[in-house]
Order: sequence, then C-alpha cells, then structure tokens
Amino acid sequence: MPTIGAGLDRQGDLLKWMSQGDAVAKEDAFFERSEFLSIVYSPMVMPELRGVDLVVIDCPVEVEIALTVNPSMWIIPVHGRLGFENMHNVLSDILATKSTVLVIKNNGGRGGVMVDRNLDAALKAVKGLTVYADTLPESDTICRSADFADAAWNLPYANRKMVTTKGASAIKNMCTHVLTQCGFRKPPAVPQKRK
Amino acid sequence: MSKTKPAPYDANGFEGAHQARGLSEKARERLASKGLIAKTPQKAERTTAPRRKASSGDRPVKGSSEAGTGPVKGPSETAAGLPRRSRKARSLRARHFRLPIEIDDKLQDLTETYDSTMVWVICKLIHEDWVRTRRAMRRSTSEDQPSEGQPAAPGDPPDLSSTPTKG
Repeated sequence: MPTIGAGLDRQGDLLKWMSQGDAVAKEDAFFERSEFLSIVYSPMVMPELRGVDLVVIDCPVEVEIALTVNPSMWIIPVHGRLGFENMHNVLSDILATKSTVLVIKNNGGRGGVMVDRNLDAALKAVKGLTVYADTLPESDTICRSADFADAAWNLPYANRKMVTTKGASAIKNMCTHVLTQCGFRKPPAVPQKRK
Repeated sequence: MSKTKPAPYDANGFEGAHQARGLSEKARERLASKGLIAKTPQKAERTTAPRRKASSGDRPVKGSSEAGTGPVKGPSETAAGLPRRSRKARSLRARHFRLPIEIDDKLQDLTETYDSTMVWVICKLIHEDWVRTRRAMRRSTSEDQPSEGQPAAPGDPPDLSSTPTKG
C-alpha cells in the first residue's frame, strides 16, 4: 500500500522518527523507509500528493495550518483539562470540515482516576466527536518507542514472555481501528506463540 | 525485535528546522521521480492550492458559474482520489475561551442572529447589563436624595450603537 508520511510540523518529528535520525534525511527532507513508505518534510505547507493510497500527516496545532489540510479523518489525542480545552480552540473549524473527528484519550491513568473520569464526562457533552472507545494507557513502551524510533509493538520488550505489553497492544489496536475506519481491510490476526 | 539498544540522543539539532516553508527542491525532485507529485514547481510561500482556470477542453461547461468563481459544495477529488481542501474562503471561528455548553449554544445563536462575532455579542451584553445596573444605582440614590434637574453622572454610559461591527 503506497503510503506517505507528511511532516508539516516544523520540528520534523515524523521525519526524524521514521528515518531513525538519518543524517541524509535532514538534508533532503525526504526519506524512503521502504518501497511503500516514504516520509517527506514540508514545514507549514501541505504538498499536493497524488497516486498514494494513504497519507498520514503530522500537523501542527496552528489552526491556519491545520485548515489547509482536508483529511478523511482528524485524529486528536487528548489528555487532561488542558488537552480538552486546547482542542476547543480549533474544534469548531475542524468540525466544519465535515470529516470524522476521532478523539483518542491518551495517557490514561496519568493524574489519577478523576482526570480520566472528568475527560469522559467532558467529551460526552461535545457534539460531533467520535471518541475512541479504549484509552491509550500511560506506558513505558509507548514512551520509549521514540528512543528506538520504531513502532511500540516492535520494541524488544514489547513482547514480554511472548505476550504483547498493554501499551504496545493498545496502540496497535488503535492503529488498526483508524485504518479500518479509513476503509482499509482489517489485517488477519497472527496467533501468538505461547510456552 | 528490531533493535536491542536505542540510538544515542542527537545533540546536533534538526537542520530542516531552518528550511523555508514547503517542500525542499530535493524532496520535490524525489517525489516527482516516484510520480507522487506534479512536476510543476509551486511557490514556497503559498499555503493554499492555486485556483485552477476552467478550460473548455477538460469538461463540458455547464454555465457561467463553472468559471471557478462559484462556491465549492464539498471536498473535490483529485485524479488519484485524494481529497483537496475546499477553496472557498471561510472565516475562522477559533477562540481561546470556553463556556458551559448551554451558554455556548446561546452565544452561538446570538452571534448568528446579530451576524457578528462572539466578542461583539459579549461586549454588547456586558455593556447593556452595566447600563441597567448604573441606572438602578442612580435611581436608588435619587430616591434617597430627591433633587430635580440633576445632570447625568460623569460615569453614565454612552448609548452603544446597535449596529454590530465585525472584527
């Protein structure tokens, strides 16, 4: 599946992550990770791509930049009061695009039960949002995936005793959910080996 | 398992952070070589897609509204099926304050009724309430000390124009 990751954020996190800090990628602002996956760095401007099945955009929070993008789906990770309230800065504009707005509760458990509970209550009161049913937990595996510049489920200790850790499986399920919502087929389940 | 040890932290910074807006020339060339982008170079500063002129060779012209000036009804599709942003200019309604949902709905309603901004509506409501409060205070004061022909107090409010001003 031809896929392009477009990094619009000036920090270039997506390019750095996917190129695993490759020095050449810094100069070219382009990295070909595999035959089907390329990453392009285009700060603040969305390039007009074609012939691609899937475009994943790392978008900065500035509404002026976000609204130059017209995606099939917005994915907004949210945690805590500030995350929710900051989402409201741009929410009316994002909802006006008529695309699916998928809110993902992030870092579940951080700050205690009340933080999660209040976020749930607040999200229920907002119309037009699709809230992902599960919560991405606060997870060492997810956090350290930046260290390894790889997917959380590919880390060495993501599969402890042949069982996928909670954080790795949560983020993998979320990715599967997003892809199926975008119209892609669900990948066949791979049976886990057990001792 | 892809790796056993993470890479050391990079202290050299990200060179691309100083790049001008948009694609670099090298990135554009490499995308074009893979057929993933049109080869026509774009202006780096442009943030929206340039308006395409209607040509008679592309498709039959339905009417004068097809000349590219009519409103776009929905996200148009490119040849590859990728969505493109609507070119219709739309005013931003982003804001940096949040109210309870029921109050927010009423504020939105008033904003649409007056065809103005939320800030203007809030200013108007505060001003009207301030006028009402000042009058009530003045009335209670005049009842305590009755005097005829008393001039208006220096802090009396001017009459706010009822015409909404966008901004």
